[in-house]
Amino acid sequence: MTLFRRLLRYEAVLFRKDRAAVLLTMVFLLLSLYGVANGARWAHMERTRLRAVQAAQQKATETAKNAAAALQQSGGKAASPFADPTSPGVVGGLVHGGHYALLPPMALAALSIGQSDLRPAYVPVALQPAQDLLSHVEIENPQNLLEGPFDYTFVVVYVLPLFLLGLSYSLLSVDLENGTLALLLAQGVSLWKLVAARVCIRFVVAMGCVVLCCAAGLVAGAGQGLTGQGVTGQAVGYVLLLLIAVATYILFWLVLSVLIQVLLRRSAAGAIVQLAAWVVLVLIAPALINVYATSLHPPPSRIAQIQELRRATTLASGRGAQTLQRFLNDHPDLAPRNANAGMSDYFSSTLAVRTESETLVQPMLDRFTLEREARDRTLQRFRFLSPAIVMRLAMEDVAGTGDARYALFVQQYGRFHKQWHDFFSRRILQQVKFSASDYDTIPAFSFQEESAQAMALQSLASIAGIAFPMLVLASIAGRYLSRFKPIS
Amino acid sequence: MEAEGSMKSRGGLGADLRASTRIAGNDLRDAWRDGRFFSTLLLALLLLGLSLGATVHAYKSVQEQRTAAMAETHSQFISQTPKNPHAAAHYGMFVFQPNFLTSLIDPGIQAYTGVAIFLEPHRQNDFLFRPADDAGASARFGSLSASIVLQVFVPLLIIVLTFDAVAGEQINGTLRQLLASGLSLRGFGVGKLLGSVLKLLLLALPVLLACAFALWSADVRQFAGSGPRFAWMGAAYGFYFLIWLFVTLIVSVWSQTPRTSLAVSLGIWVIATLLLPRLAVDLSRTVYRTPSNLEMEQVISKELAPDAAFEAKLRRDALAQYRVTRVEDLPVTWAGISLMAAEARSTRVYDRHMDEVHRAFTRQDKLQAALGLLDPTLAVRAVSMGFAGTNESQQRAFAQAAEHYRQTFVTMMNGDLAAHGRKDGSPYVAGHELFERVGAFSYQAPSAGQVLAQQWSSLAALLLGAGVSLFIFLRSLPKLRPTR
Repeated sequence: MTLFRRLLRYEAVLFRKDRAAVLLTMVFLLLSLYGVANGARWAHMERTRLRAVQAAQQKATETAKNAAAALQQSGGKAASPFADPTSPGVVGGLVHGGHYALLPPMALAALSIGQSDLRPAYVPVALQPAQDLLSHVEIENPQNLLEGPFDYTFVVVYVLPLFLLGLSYSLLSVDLENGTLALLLAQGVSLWKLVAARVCIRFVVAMGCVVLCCAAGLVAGAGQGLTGQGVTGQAVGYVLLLLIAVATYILFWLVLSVLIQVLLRRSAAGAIVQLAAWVVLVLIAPALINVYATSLHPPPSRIAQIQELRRATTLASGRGAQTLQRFLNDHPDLAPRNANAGMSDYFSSTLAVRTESETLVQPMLDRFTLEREARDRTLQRFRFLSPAIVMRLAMEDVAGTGDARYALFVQQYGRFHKQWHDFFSRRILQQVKFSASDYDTIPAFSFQEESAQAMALQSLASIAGIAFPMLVLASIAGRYLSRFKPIS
Repeated sequence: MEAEGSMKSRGGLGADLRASTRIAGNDLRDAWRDGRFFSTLLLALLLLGLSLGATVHAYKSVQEQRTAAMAETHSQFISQTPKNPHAAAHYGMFVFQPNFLTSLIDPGIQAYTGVAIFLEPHRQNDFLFRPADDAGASARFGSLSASIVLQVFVPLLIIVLTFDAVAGEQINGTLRQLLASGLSLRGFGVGKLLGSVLKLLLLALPVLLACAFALWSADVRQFAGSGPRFAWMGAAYGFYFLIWLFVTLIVSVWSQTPRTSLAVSLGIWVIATLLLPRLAVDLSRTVYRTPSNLEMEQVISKELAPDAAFEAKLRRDALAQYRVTRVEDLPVTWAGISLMAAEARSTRVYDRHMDEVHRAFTRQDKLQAALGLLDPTLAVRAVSMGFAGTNESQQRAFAQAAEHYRQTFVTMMNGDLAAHGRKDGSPYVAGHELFERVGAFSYQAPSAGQVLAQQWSSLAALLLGAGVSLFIFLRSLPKLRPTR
């Protein structure tokens, strides 16, 4: 048996005998499993909710379609023009919505609630401005949102480094303080191998917990779409990428711990500095990056936006019939077949006024989007300053609960909203009845996931983003370790 | 017996006090010399500077924008072109969230509510445009408010300054020497306590002064008016810091080495500031559930569906009230009566459901605050957000004031339509004289006394926590034994 393997065996025995380390591991595992269970519960709730939305939409469409068919047959009129199933304005949702665009949880949703409690998983599709529809949020106590979810991502990003700190803060310095390091080295044990064996044991313990939790998360929240059943090959691939990222993250903190001990040589001082590093990298750095990005690209005022939209609506409404007339001049193909009836039609006017006011505020909305995109780009660029940010974003991306996937959803929603608008506005302006058979041609939204290749590239970039500082720290630690004096 | 004996010094109480003062002085000198105190203070000021610097700058412009927007939205409403009063009500109005100076210390849930509410007939809208939605991925990861510095970082700094107060003397063997020189354990403990409190004061005073200066420079008038709120917040944070100080001292007394003391204190810090607040959220969410948006919309639209029986009863009542037999003979417009009744009905339905949701929120918040008996971070957070005016109940108070205003102007418009509308169905238009009767929206936030009535239990939990931890520290002193 080689020396290293013997060291590994002894270290494993020592770890098992260390009651504090075992207790710490148990607590960490418990917190991890709790995080996964919370995520699985959330994903299940989201799927149940989305299935209810889908069912409600199907039922409402079916009822409206039957009512339209009945009206067509009888030749009668609806009780109210605002509930007329043959009016394209009503069906398209100029007054009330009834259709939704769904963003179903991904296969690994159990591993991260991420931002999904902030972002709606179902957005109404109607003829109101897309940005108004996207601002419909789920009912949730703001105080709970402020605190953030206790999910597995939280455990990995925040708690895992502290767990590793607890396991490794005296990994080398304890022998130095007790005077046993020199004795050990005098037995012919290489310092390198000793440190490597101790790091190895802690890495294996931490990774064991992570593998267990990722497997639990995969099984608990597996499956794409609204059913969430069955483990797909793609999901397994994502889990493997995630495991590599977490392994790199664990190594980063272990190497940092070794470096600090090699430099400071005292456990208490080393622990304080490691904790300070945790505070800086996990709590302060993200905040500073955020402050910097926001000061560089401050979000335009929402108050100003509201007022600008208000002025535009007032202007467009004030023009009233002129707005509709100008709109029809620009789109002669949409002119009503009965030209005289069009002028007084409520839906046509409302639609024209909305379209006009949206056009008026579009430059401002574009400014808003540009500033936000610039801010996001800055944040993305600076995320590599803290492995904690990289880790968090990587986990949220793989689980599909981060900003990147939601941005893709918003993009697709925007395109779909335009398609929806074109589909119904043509019928509203031409004042044609919406027949029962038209119900079958209503556009349906289906979210297209990012390709697995793009996701893999993104994950590899994250892994590189954590691996690079880890390797730099490792090389510095290695240099100091080779000159390390084993006597305090 | 030995423990009791070691509690008494050879020179009596006076000598104990003198020795305690000397120990406190030594502690201060040591903290200054090893650079820990200075770097801790610098870090605290730096973090506060960063958190307040960014928000103070934004505060003034938001304040100006809000005042201008409130005036403009009212002016837009009253200067509408003559039209049907109900259509005028549909034009609606925005009301904007108040921006309190105290929110610079604790922005609380502001980022998760929204900046404005749109008021219109038939429905009660929620807040629009949550700043957290605009913040993107950094919404939760990168917030650094003064309250986070005070609730999370300052306790950490207290631990770093205090963890070796007693355990350090143990490991260095100086505790045995001190006791051998005739000093009692109580004298030693009180000296350590005094030294630690002095360090805390020297740390807290510049921090508080820096906060006060930043707030004063942001808005002198609101600063003067918010005195009582700041005072209560200051008291809560004072108790909170004392709890951390006493707990760290207790751990230091119970630990054989500074290493153990640090590890245990940090463990407590992680549990109290990082884990328990999130676990409390989970617990409260599980105990008091809230419906989904869809569920609530479905129930409301079902309850508000056209109801022939309701219409018939309304018609019967109106005919009976005006002692006529036909709608055409009513001295008021039927459309106006119908609209007012529909508005009252929808208000009742919305009120009931919104109240249910907010009752669940309040229960969740109360449960979290009650857990403040176990975790002072939860207690101080409740008090801090309460006096900052940024907790759920005060956001709700604002939303209720806005809702009351909505009902007032919608009723005024519908009432005018009922009184003056044309019975023959020809269009009726009202003008400025009606619209100008709608006054501007104003909101009076709850006073510090009213907030105190809501938050007294959390404040009491903090006071109790400080008292109990001090008591435990003093009680644990006699059990202290020199180990080296």
